[in-house]
Amino acid sequence: MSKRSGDRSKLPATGYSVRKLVVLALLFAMAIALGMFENILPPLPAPVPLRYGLSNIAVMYALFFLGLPSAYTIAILKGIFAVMTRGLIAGLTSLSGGLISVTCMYMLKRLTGDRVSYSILGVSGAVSHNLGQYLLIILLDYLRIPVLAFLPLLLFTGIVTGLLSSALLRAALPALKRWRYFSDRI
Amino acid sequence: MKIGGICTLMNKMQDNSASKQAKRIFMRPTDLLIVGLLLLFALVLHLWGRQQDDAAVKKAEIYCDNNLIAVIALTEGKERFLSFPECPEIVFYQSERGTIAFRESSCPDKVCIKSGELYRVNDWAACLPNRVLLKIVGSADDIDSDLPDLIA
Repeated sequence: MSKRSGDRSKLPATGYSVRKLVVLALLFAMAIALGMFENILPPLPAPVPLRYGLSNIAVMYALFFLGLPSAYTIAILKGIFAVMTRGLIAGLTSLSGGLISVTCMYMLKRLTGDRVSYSILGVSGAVSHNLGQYLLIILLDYLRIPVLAFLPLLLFTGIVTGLLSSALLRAALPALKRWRYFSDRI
Repeated sequence: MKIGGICTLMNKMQDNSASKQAKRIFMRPTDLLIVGLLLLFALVLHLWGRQQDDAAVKKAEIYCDNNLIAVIALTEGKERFLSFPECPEIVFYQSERGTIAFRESSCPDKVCIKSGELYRVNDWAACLPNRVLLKIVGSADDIDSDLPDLIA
């Protein structure tokens, strides 16, 4: 017994237990399912493809309850999945938006001493996601969309979709609390 | 009052756990103020862009791969379909009401076509997969409206 525990202590400290890995996989599956569900919803009235960002629920959830590395992992996996299914540019914009969104939400969480509300985190995450995507399009010089015409649209859709995803996350929390893994943490 | 009620309802959904995560609430009154200010900022930017709508002449600029390939005067009474060799997958439609729109595109989602007809200064639509941007600009001067590639 002591030998087994001794062996276990020699395992690399990756920070990922099997349980955490499974929960991450479930969250990633949830993000993909929500992304697919978005495709059957009516499109947002915008001159460029804008999405509802429902898969951001999984990222927010990972950030709140699993930590920053897990949230980044979900964002990166989402980007890779978007590259495979929607092409390189869509994947890169998803990746840049996701990474900036997680960073922004984490900074806000830290700066407010973890007292920030769900709605503000959701709105800041969605707006920064949109801005991150736009920033990548500018950096790659992919398409010179006029910033003054695009910014109001990004802000407005970010606010609406951020409030929506944070409300859905808040509503889903009691159900997700039944998961044993989270019962100790929520 | 109604919005305040929704906030209260969402806040009540939280459990009484003593942990820090459970203390997080859905929305505070100050959050409403922040969201309202952001919305106001977006509205001001939008209205600022709309200020130039009284331009004497409206032109449609078409960019492909970030290069300006055509400038079209949106004069009323002309109806035509336009295509350009730089972006052959796209067909534009100029209506006799002085509007212009994406009519055909090879992109999968057709968001550019769904953007509809553009006619106000600073209106714009883009086809991201084909890297094509269509935007309306205003000008005090008249312009030449020589149009290449009239296909219908």
